[in-house]
Parts: sequence; C-alpha cells; structure tokens
Amino acid sequence: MSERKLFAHELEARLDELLLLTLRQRSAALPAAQLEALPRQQQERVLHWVGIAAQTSTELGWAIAQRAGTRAAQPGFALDDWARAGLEAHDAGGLAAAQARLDEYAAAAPDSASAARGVTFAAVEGRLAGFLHALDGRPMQLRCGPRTWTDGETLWLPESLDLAADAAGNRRLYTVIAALLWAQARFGTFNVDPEPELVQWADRDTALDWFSLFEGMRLEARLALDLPGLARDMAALRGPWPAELAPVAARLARPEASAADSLACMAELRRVGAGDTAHPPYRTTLDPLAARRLRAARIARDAGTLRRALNIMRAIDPHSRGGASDSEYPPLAADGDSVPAELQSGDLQGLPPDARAAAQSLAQDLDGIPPELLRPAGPGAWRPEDRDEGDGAVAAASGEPDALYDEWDYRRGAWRRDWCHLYESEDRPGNTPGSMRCAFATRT
Amino acid sequence: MTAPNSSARNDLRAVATPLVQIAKEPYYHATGDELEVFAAAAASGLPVMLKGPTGCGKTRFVEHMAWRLKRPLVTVACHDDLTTSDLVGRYLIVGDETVWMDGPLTAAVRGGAICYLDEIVEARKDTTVVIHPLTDSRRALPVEKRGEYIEAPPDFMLVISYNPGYQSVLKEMKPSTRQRFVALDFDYPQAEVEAGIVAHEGGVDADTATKLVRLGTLTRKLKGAGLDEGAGTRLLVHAAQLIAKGMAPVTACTAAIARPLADEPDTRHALDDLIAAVF
Ligand SMILES: Nc1ncnc2c1ncn2[C@@H]1O[C@H](COP(=O)(O)OP(=O)(O)O)[C@@H](O)[C@H]1O
Ligand SMILES: [Mg+2]
Repeated sequence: MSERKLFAHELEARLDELLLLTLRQRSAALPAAQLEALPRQQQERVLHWVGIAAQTSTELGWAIAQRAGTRAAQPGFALDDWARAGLEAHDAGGLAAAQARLDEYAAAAPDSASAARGVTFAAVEGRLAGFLHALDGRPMQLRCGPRTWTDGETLWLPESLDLAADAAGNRRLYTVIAALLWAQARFGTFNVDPEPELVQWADRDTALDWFSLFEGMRLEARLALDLPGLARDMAALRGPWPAELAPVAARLARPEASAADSLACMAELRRVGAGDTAHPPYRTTLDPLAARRLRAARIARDAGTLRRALNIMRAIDPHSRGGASDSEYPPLAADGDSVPAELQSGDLQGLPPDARAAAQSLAQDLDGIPPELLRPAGPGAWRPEDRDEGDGAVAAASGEPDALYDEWDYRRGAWRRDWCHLYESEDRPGNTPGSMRCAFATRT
Repeated sequence: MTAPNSSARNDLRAVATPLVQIAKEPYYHATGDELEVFAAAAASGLPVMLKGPTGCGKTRFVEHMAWRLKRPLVTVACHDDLTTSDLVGRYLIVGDETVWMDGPLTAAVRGGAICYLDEIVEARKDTTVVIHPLTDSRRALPVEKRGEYIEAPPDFMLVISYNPGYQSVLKEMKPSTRQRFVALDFDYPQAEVEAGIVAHEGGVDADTATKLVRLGTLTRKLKGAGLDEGAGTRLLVHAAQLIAKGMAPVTACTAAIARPLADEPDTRHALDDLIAAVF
C-alpha cells in the first residue's frame, strides 16, 4: 500500500462510492476534510470500517464516516474497537443505538495509565483469530467473558488484560492464554475423565485449580516442541516453579505425558496434602463436564458424518472400497477389509472435505479413529438416492425465528450475536423423516 | 510501428540478445517424477505446463531441466501489459535504418531453446493466442509483421507456468489453451525436503531451516483466511539468507515473510505472533 495520504477529494470519492452519497444528495466533503489530516493507514482503516458498516446499512456507514475524522485524531484512539462497538450496538438496537454508542464511546475513551497499557479483547480478537486459525488449520470461535476457559470448541478470553507493564506485554499474555486454551483442546486435556479423581477432593474448585496447573505444565512442554517462542513466553510469565513443584513439572514435561499423568500427579498430591496452587498470570479455569458433554456430542456428530460419507463412497464405488453395497448395513468393521485402506493408513484424502474434517476432529478427540466408527450409518441414513425430494418442506423465512444463533461474519472478522435465524417447520403427515429442513436467513 | 521498406529487412543479430546456455547445474531437489516427465515431453516435442503456488520451485525446475537437456533457456515474466510484439518482436529504428528485432519467443524458436512463459495468465488474452500454433502439430510461429512462418526446430520447447490458487475468473486459463500442454503439478515439498532446500539455498543450519518451514506451513493455513497464499519456499529462503547474514530470526522473518504477505493489520499481527511463537 502506498504511504501517501489521500487528499480530501480522493477521500470524498471513496466515501461516495461506499455510501452512494450523491444518490442521497449528501456530501462527504466535511468528513473527507477531517479525514485528510490522518495518516494513510488510519485513513484506510476508516474506509475499511465504513465499507463494512455499509454492507449492513449505508446509514450506519455514514454514521461512522461522519464521526471518524475527529475521533481518530485523538492520540491512542482505538478506532477498530470503536467501530466494532458501533456495529454491535447497531445489531442490538438499530441505528439510534449505534449513533449513541459511537458518540459516548469517545467520552469513555481511555486516558488513565492502566487503560493505556491495558488491552481489550476487541483489540486483539482479529489477530488472535488469525493466529489460532494458523495453528489449528480451521477457524476457532473466540469469545470474551468473566471466566477464561474452553469447552473444546469455543475459547473464552478475558474482556481486557492489564497485568503486564505495557500494552505489548498484555497482548502477549492474550496470545499465551489463547494458545494454552487451544492446546487443552488440541492435546487431549478433555480426552480423560477426571471425575473419579475430582470427587475425592473435598473442594472441587481446588481440585480443578490443580488439574489446570498440571495441565499447564504438560502443555507448555508440548507447545515447546513446535512453538518454542510461545513456551518461552509462558515460562517468563510464570517464573520458575516453586521447588516443591519442580519435579512434577519435569515429569509432566516428558513427551509421552498425557492428561492421565496430570490426574496421577493430583492423586499423589492429594495423599500428601495439597495447599494452594501457584497462580501463573495465564491461569485458565477448567470445566471438564461441559467440555466432555460437548465432546460426546461432537464425536457422535463426526462419527455420523464419517459413516455417511463411507456409505456414499461404497454405494458409488462398491468394488474399489471392498464392501458390498450393504443394503442391510452390516457392521463393516467386523470384517476388516471393508475399512477403506486409506482410512486405516490415516490418509484421508479420499474423503469429501466435510468427512475429512470430521475424521480429523475424531482423531483429535479419540487419539485416532477407532475401527468401529468406520461403519456405515444405520437405516434411514442419508444416501445419494434419497437426496432432494423437493424443498416443499422448507419454511418460508418469515415471522419470528424459532431460534437465534451467533454466526461468524467474515467481513467483520468477528462473531455476530444472534445473526443467524433458525426457522422450524411442522412435520406434516406424509413427509419423510428426512424432509425436516431448516431455513436460515441472515438479518438485513 | 513503421512499416519496413523491403531493402531494410536486415537480420538483427546485432541487436538481439544472444541465447545463453546454463553452465553450472542449478540446484533442484526433485519431489516426484517431474524430471522424467519433462524429459519425455522434451523428447516428444510436447509443450509443458507447470501448475502450482508461487515460490515452490517451478522456475528453478525449468532452469535445472534446461541445464540437463543442454538447451538454452529464455524466460519471460508475463505481466498484464505484455503484448504480442513484446513476445514476437518489432521493428526498431537504428540510425536511419528500420530493423527488425526478434522478441524472446521468436529468438527461442529460431535458436531451438526452451522458452519459459512464467505466469502466463497474467498476460493479455491476445498474447496467449500467438503460442497456439507452437503447441500443436504445426510447431510453428507465424511472425505476421514480417510475413514469416518459422518452423520450430526439434530442440525448441515451450513451457508455461500457471498458479491455479488465485481464484479469479479473469485469471483462469481457457480450456482451449490448457488442453495443449502436458501438465506437471507442483506443490510445497514435504517439510523435511523443504527444510533441506531452505538450508541449502539460504545457508542456515538444519534447526533454523526446520523452524522456517514450520512457520511457512502455518502461514499456508491462512490461505483464504486473510492471505491469498501462504509463504512459498522462496520467501523462506529469503528469510534464511537474512538470518545467515546475522540478522535476528524474528526481524528477518518479519521483513522477508510477514510484510510481503499481508497488508491488513489483523493478519499482519497474526503473522507477527506466529513468528514470535515459532522462534
Ligand atoms: N524443489 C526445489 N529445489 C531447489 N530449490 C527450490 C525448490 N523449490 C523451491 N526452491 C527454492 O525456492 C526458490 C523459489 O522458487 P522458484 O522456482 O522461483 O518458484 P516459482 O517459479 O514456483 O514461483 C528458488 O529460488 C529456490 O531457492
Ligand atoms: Mg517463477
């Protein structure tokens, strides 16, 4: 990108293009004149947000354009946070709410020393999303909330951090926490059932604190294999382990250590009597029950997806897959040769993308794909020939939705609350079981 | 362009760049059967298309094959202003004479060279059409401005490269063009192989090369999620070269990998975080 500032007439033209202002007989001359004073990067940032807002509503884009010049001129102004806050307010309460939010945000602009070094979740959400996507290979769902934890699918991070002495340190702390939560899901914290150990502790919260601490030790060592810089940051943040914990840390740092070892360490500690845990600044909490509930649902879903894909592959190409076209759905894993060789060898390239993703997710949850999952689904499963019986059952996307979901808006690079609307339709007599359909509509 | 007067139809060896043969073996690590396929296509007079992401060794491979086959190599980096005249040739005024100068394609055809048109889809559509007669049984280049029809000698070979990664309708290659070529798929090499290449080309130790490749692999996950394409081997080699000169790895990777890849702030920061995590 060229570093030359845009002149007012260029800014005016770009705003006009984004917001179709001439059509509305409005002039961008004033906002453009204000934006002219900003450095190029900030000018582009403003235009970026105006463009994103305009995809929701040109009025919202105009609201941002009108205010951005004076706001962004304030030193240290968090333009991205401000714009995101405006968009969120618009989602929740419409244009008036957005305008109010955009105006009052300036009044609440950070000026104290702690706010200057403090970092908000909104300020790091985009970069963390990219960072985790690269680590995981898939987009991860990020949220902020009072508790720092993961259920294995969504990562909940603090709303803001100001523990470190400067903003860079607090951003690094965010990165470490996010990576640690990701590592819990990725490297098997939820693949063991901790309940038999947890119930033996008088205080469940203390027990979970220890579990979390021991898993942190194990995962730091696991992360050090591929991401030594990150592990170094973790070590620097926590400082040296207290002498009495050092042997445990060394034991959990062995490459073959698993979450079961963390539980074993807890059992030993329990016998000698446990005090309070050490509290590293990247401390997370654990909710194994919630995580394992989701994990069970995920395994069932992924197993279903994988089985259906195998069904289809066999139906299309029974010979090369080695199975009969299984009209009676025998448990194919019983005869070993019906498991496609490429799956046994861990090569998933032959699967369609969604099934490949399911297989990868299963392998992560179960440390490999158990053969009993490599069976086709039971009767009534989706097969190529009972697709598309007409979409008559699809409800018209009108009236009040039956459920609302948060959904990822790739343009904003953020999750949007209640953005996805679910409409359910009555299952009329004569409809086949498969004819229940959901119609999604995005709010406009 | 001035029309020539027939007496001035001079041969322009004086102006044209001479064809050069590659003297020293260009280092190339084969990752599949590409050496055999290319050699067979060369022996049969078939044109070859190299498909794959940027910086994964296509150009290096052609250089290596030209050396192997002992044929001169003419490389043309295609861009959207590339005209037919740029490829085929044009009349120039030299002193008070109008003289013809062969373009790189014509020079390659005459000299029995390998002509490598890099990133062919970047060139204007009419440009791609001039290569058609060279890619079928005619194996000839009509030079319309000169009224000349040059039959290619057996050693002439046309090679094009094409990056299917950019998902743009404008940058798609038409079937009428693509179905004329023997195609070779290129991709980033396996991690260990790529680390060997980076160590060799960049002059760094195995540990540094492994980390660079790990970083490269992570950035490739961001394709379509902030990046058009992840870091190719070339960028990893560049970073390695800076490190070999004594630059700190994080600084080198920021300059040679993160900055060239992304402009968008969130993506740039995500890359910064990845670099800090890997080193
Ligand atoms: N298989 C390979 N063998 C040797 N060097 C390679 C190989 N692949 C990539 N490289 C290195 O990467 C650099 C970029 O490769 P290049 O051939 O220019 O890529 P492309 O033409 O595909 O964009 C080369 O200069 C070389 O250093
Ligand atoms: Mg090239």
